[in-house]
Formats: sequence, C-alpha cells, structure tokens
Amino acid sequence: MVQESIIASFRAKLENDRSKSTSLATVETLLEVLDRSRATTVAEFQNELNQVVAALEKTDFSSTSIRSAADLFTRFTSLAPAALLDQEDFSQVLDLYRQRARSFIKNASGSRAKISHFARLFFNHHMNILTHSYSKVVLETILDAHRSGFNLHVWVTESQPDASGKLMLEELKREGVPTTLVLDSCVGYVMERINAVLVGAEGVMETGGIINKIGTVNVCVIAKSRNVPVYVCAEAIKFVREFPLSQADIPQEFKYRTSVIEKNNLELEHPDVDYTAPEFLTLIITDVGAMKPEAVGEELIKMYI
Amino acid sequence: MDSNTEIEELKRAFIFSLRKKFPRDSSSVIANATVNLLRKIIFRENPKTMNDLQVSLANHCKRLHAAQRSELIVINIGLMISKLARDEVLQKKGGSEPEPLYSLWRDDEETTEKLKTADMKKIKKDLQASIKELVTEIESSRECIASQSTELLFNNDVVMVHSLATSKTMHAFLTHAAKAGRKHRVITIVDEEEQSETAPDFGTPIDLYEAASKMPQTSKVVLVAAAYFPDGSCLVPAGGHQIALLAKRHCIPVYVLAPFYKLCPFFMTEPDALHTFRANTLPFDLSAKSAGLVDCLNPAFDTLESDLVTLFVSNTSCIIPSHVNRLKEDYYHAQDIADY
Repeated sequence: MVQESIIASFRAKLENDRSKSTSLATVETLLEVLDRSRATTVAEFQNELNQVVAALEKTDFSSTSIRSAADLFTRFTSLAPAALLDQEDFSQVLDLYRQRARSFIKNASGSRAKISHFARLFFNHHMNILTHSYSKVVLETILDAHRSGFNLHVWVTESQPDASGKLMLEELKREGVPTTLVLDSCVGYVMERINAVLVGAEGVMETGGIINKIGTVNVCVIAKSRNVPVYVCAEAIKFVREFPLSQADIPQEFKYRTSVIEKNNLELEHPDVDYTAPEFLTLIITDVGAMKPEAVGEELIKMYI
Repeated sequence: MDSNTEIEELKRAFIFSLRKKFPRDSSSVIANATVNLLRKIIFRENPKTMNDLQVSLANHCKRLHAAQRSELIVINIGLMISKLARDEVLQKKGGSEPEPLYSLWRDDEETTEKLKTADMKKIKKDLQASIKELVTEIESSRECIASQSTELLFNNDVVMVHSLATSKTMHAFLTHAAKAGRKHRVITIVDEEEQSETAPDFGTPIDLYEAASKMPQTSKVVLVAAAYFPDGSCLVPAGGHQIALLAKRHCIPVYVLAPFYKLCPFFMTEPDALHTFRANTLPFDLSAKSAGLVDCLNPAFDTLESDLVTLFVSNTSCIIPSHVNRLKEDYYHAQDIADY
C-alpha cells in the first residue's frame, strides 16, 4: 500500500540519519505525500494528510513532535490566497503548497544552527551546565559553544529508564567536552554548583511549559528553588496546541509509546515524559528568537487564528 | 568639508556632549539628540539602497555605543529608525511582514533581497516624516507617563520613590497626581550627597537604610528604569533592587516608569557587563593614601528580575513584565536585532 511505503520511508529517514529530528522527518514525509498527491480539492488533500499523520502517530517515535510538525504543516497547506483557490486547476494550489513546504524544510533544517546562535549569549567561561537526558539541539548548542572556545563543564543526568544520558555523555566526551554523569537522584546534590540548566523538549505547549523526557520537571523545580536559570532549546516546529494543566492532563499518546499503549497494562507502566510548567522555565530559545514562556501562547494564537 | 569628515565631527561632538555633562542630561534629551544625529548622518551619507542604510546605521550605532557603553539608548534609537525604514519600504509595496512562526514557510531570501535593494530615494521623504513622528513621541512620552499617574495613585496612598531628584519623569508623574487632586504621601529615598539639594516639598526624604522600616507603611513603590529588556527585567538606579525586594516581602506593588526608547531589544544575560560605575566616593586624602590598594565599587544601576516588577508604565499604556516582549515587536524588527 501507499501508506506503508510512506511510513517505511519515514522510518528510514530517522534511522539513516541519527541527527535528524522527528519533526523534520515528519515534514519531509508529508512533503512526499504532497508530491504524490493527485487530489483535486482541498478537502481531499487534507483527508490524505490526516490519514498519513494518523499512521505516523502509530509509530513509536515521539507523538508530541509528530503532532506539532504535522499541525504546522496542515496549517500552512490550508492557507492559500482566495484567488488561487477559486481557479479550477487544483494542481496550481498544490504547487504553491509544495513550494511552501520546501522553504519550510529549508528553514527548519537550519534551525539548530540558529538556536545555537541565539543561545550563545547565555554562555560564560567556566560555566557549569546541567542537562537532562539526550537532546540533539542541546548537544549541538553545547558543542558549538565548546568549539568556539568556551570552557564549559557539562553535568549530564543518567536519565533512566533508558539511560539516554549516557549517550549524551559519550557524544560530549568524543568532542572533548569535560563531562560528568550524575544519577537522577543526585540533581539536588549537584545543583549548588550549576550555573545554568539546559534542556531540550519534545514539545512546547501553549502554556509555555514543555513536555520532555521524564525527570525534567524534577531538574527544573530544583533549579528554580536555587535560582538557577533554566533554558529550553527547542525548534519552533515543536510548538503544539495543547494546554496541559497538570501531569494527569497530558494526552495519553504523548505519555506512552504507541506499542506500549496497545500491548501493555498502563497502570503498571511508567510514562516516558512529564510536563514542566512555565513558571519553572526562564527562557525558551527557538530558531525564531529567545522568548519568555509566556510568549509561546501568543505565537501560537497568531498562527492558528 | 566632505561628508565623511563632517559626520565624524558630528559624532565626536555628540560623544563629547554626553561625556561633559554632569549630572547626565535626562534620557529623553539624549534620545532626541541621538535621533537628530542619526537623521543628519542618514541625509549626509545619502545611502542608495535599504541595505546601505541599515549597514551604516548599525556601524555608526556600534561605534557610538562603544564610546559610551552605558548609553543603551543609542542602540535602541538606531534599531528603531532601521525598522521605520523597513516599514516605509513595505508600505510602498503594500505587503506586511511575516510573523515569526509564519516566516517558517516563507522563502525569506527573496523578500529580503527585494527589501535590501529597495531604492532609498523613493522613501526618503516618508522616512523623514516618520523620524519626525519618533521625535514627537519621545518628546511627549514624559507627559503620557505622567498622565497615567491618576490611574495608579489614589487618595491616602503612601508612595515610596527613588531617584526623584534625578528623574524629571518621576517628578512629572508625582506632580500630575497631586494636581489631579490625589491626596497621597510621598516618601522619597535620597542619597546622602543629594540631601543638601533642594528636595521637592511634597516628599518626605529618608535614607536608603530606612527603607526597610518605612516599607510596612508604604502602599506603593515607584521606580524609574534606566533600561528594560524583553524578558521583563530592568535596570534601575542603584538601591532599587533592595527596595523592590522589600516591597515583595510586604506584597507591595512596584511600578517602574519606562518610556519606550529605554526598551532594549536584547536579552541581558550578564548584568555585570552592563554595570557602569559612578565616581569613586572615597574622600580624596583617603584615596590618595590607599591608591591601588582599595577598590571602591559604586555601581550606577541595579538589575531587577521580572518577578520583582508589578507593572511597567510605558508611554502608551501599563504593561506587565511578560508583555514587554510584545512591545518590543512594535518598535523593532526581528531581523535587525539578529543582524546587529
């Protein structure tokens, strides 16, 4: 089937290029759908997209990232000048969408470099940075700062249950960044020597809070209580229109991988992610600039209304 | 005299005027002087394209700011004029700028290319007019801020203020409330050196160390910003931090008077780098004896985090700290900030 081949190419994208973000792969996959589409109306095309997005969310990659990227993609493929939509030939509209999707991918693929550029302001010499789990954006930002001569010491939490912090540690060590691995339960102990906390995000919510690897909220709460600034590095395509009020309010598909939801008893499972409320975050550094968590909601409203 | 040396002369005169004046001119005067200087520079240099204009503006502002590190206003005004020029070009074309998230799917290179090569001749007149508007806005900002005092100060309020002697805006703010018939008391915190000067008759002068004991009787605190930043933090004259912390301790609202030209579009990450110091306060014979042995730090400003501020009183309206970011978008263009 067409859908299966699309999902396969989505998987291949992420497996072949380890540094590719789930969001970007989603957008690229949707562009493939767009390229193949022979739809003759907007509704038909939207329908095609929705089916593919639903199938993508069934994979075990982060649903949060897939959702945010797909929402943005759907949004700009539903905005077209009225004059163009009135014409009989729908292929022209599709061409416009394709063109937009290509510049979207071009802009989005440069986003980590932009984030690193905006984050540079917040680095100092002899800084102790604490980071949680493995994040590609945070990794690139730290490496970039390291390469341009900042002597940073990075403290990485182990981040159980999958020990993704160890992966972060290895990557940082390979580049020669002084790094220490700490236990998840050790965050309170090390916090007094930390100058800044840098975390990534699977999704940035409308509240300005983030959904990220489980344990992030612990780190941020401790940092807040010691007045250590918490910077979130996240691409703007990770902005999601969700408004979680508490941990219980996080959509289930964000909390567990699809395979877990389908097969396991959720009452016995640990969630993969947690929600960190905006009051624990200092700034969100995105490729469209650094902003206070409060500004995220505004950006989303401008976008979706 | 060719235009280049003329411009250098103008810049030098501007820097001298900043350095010579003691006490410092009021910031609105400096803001206006900067607008005038940049306007003159633009029309002497006569840039051909938008790109030329922006590059030269950024260069001049960087040089001027480097000569006088504490004057962030110079950068602010430069970037504001740059945004005005952008707006004029766009208005001519009849398009509007994409919002940040929208810009994700636009092919920016094409539009920026068009913008850069835009002919300056066409927009020269309009730019001049909008620069004039900027001047009027700066001139009227004190009045606008003062007029909001009636919404913030009420009868029987006890208002604690800082740096009343040096800030004309603060003075105007309090007198406007008094003229409108508000019966409030003003406690003004003065430095020892200022005490001898004639303090306005409506204030009760106290020393900074008395602030803690007077805070429980106070119902409002008003400070003036030297600069404020998109994350809602601000710089206030030294001593302000302590007052704001006390106010927080007693749950008393802190209002910060902040005209728009003091809104600095950059995040302040390292307050130390911005700290400017006032003259050494060691008595002469003591400093002669201890030369090189004693450092007497006398910072001019304190940093206030956004959680210590209740409201910024800007010239258009009162805004909460988390909305400063939005105000920034009214006056500056994201691309200019990124390029600077």
